Amino acid sequence: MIDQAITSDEASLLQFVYQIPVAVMRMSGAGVIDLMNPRAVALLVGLGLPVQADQGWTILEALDPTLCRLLGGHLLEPGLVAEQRPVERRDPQGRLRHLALTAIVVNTHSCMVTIEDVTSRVLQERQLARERQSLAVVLEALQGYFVLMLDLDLRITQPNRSIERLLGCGTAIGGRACSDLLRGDSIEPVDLAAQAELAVRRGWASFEAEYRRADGATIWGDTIITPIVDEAGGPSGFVIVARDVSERRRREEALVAEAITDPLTGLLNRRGLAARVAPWLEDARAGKGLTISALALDIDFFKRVNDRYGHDGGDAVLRHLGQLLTTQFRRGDIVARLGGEEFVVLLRDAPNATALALAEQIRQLLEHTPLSWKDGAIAVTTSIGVASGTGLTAVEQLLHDADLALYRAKAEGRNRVVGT
Amino acid sequence: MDFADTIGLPRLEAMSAQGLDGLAFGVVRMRVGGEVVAYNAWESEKAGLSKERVLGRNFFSDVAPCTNNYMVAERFMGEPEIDATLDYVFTLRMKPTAVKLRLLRSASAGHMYLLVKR
Repeated sequence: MIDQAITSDEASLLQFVYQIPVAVMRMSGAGVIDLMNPRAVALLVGLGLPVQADQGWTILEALDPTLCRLLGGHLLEPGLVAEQRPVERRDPQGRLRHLALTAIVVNTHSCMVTIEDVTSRVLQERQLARERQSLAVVLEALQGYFVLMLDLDLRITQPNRSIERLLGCGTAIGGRACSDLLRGDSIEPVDLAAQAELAVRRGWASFEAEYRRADGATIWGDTIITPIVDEAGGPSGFVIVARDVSERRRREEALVAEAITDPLTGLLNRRGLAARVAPWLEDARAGKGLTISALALDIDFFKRVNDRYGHDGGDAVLRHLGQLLTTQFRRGDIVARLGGEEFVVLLRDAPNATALALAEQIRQLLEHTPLSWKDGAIAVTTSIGVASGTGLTAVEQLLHDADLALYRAKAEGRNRVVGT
Repeated sequence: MDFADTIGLPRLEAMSAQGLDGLAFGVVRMRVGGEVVAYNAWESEKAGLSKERVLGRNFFSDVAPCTNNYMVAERFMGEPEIDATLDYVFTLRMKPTAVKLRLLRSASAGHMYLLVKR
């Protein structure tokens, strides 16, 4: 029996259908498969299922018993009865395969069934879900760190628990600029864009920065920024990982403060004066020097105070003067206790006349503000020597000049201001 | 000449393409790996595929995807010496058709053969 020859068009169509990568079959209400494509044979054989023309219902029952129950062994209503239903089946090699089953009842005599092997897609999706979960667990478990994911514009792309924990920022953080989180008035300001650029060039950049918590407090973050790279190798975003080092910074600052502070009065000590005046001298070296004025103060007859009121009384007087001085001068001025009852004030950008006027103010203030002490009061006065210099690159001479002026103030009767 | 008799590889190797056309069962002559070098008239007519459409293509992945599994393709790839006959289903023009397949491969022959009998 010779089958009919076919036209070229039909041959093309046939070849096309032979190559469809999804298993397709047509079965009758009685379960007879009259048409099926090669992929269907390959798949069914590969799954260990019978490939016989009358085994339609058997095959469906083996793959999806629930669907079979729904159909009740009959093709009744035309329509889609299954759309990409997930089916799992172990093949003869013991591997678990994931399939997607679709069934359309065309009429009571005919049902189209397609089966797709989606094992690799399912495995990929599960792998992705596992990775996402691992990341979530890591972020969840991070203690003392926070992670920020940024886009190319350095905006935060998604909130996470670490941000909530350390910065107190919830979901509203998404879309905000990362620089919003950095303190603008920090003593160590950070140019985030420059750091990001460096990270792209070098692969990473690191810095310490003050981050602002939602409650207004500050935390210091030891920070690393790295670029996220896309398939083409170009940056598609950034990751910031920051470790909370606030404790360490506070301890460091406390140590430094201890080293430069006079414990009795809270004013700067000699070391502190040297540290604070250094930038002024550098400016002078750079040609930006201004007039610096020095006031050298000391308490008149301090020994008598100690003798009469004891060291406690003496200390109280020193503290009292220290306090008065801090109220009278600006934050940028240097107010220091150099030891014993000697105090020095250095004024930046104050001409001699101003310095003299301020010194006189202090003298009067101290004279008219006795210190309450036990049941009475201790009244003291101060002698002040004033000197000024411009464009100074060292202060020793200036301090010496102020000292000489102070000496003259004492010689001339105390409780007075003398300039050079 | 019968499908299952001792036709054997040497005989098949010796036959020309026209000679294969005279046989009363399907013959696909392939290079090791699956590239089709001869496709006889019987098989061509049953499947509805002309020789031109098939020669030079990979039989398992391209021409007859129904054979692309552990029972046929993977056996050919995995066993350098085979002479095995098995029941199978071909979808000649989409009609499931019970066939007998004979798989032939040997180091002594330059080609592998799939014989098909209904």
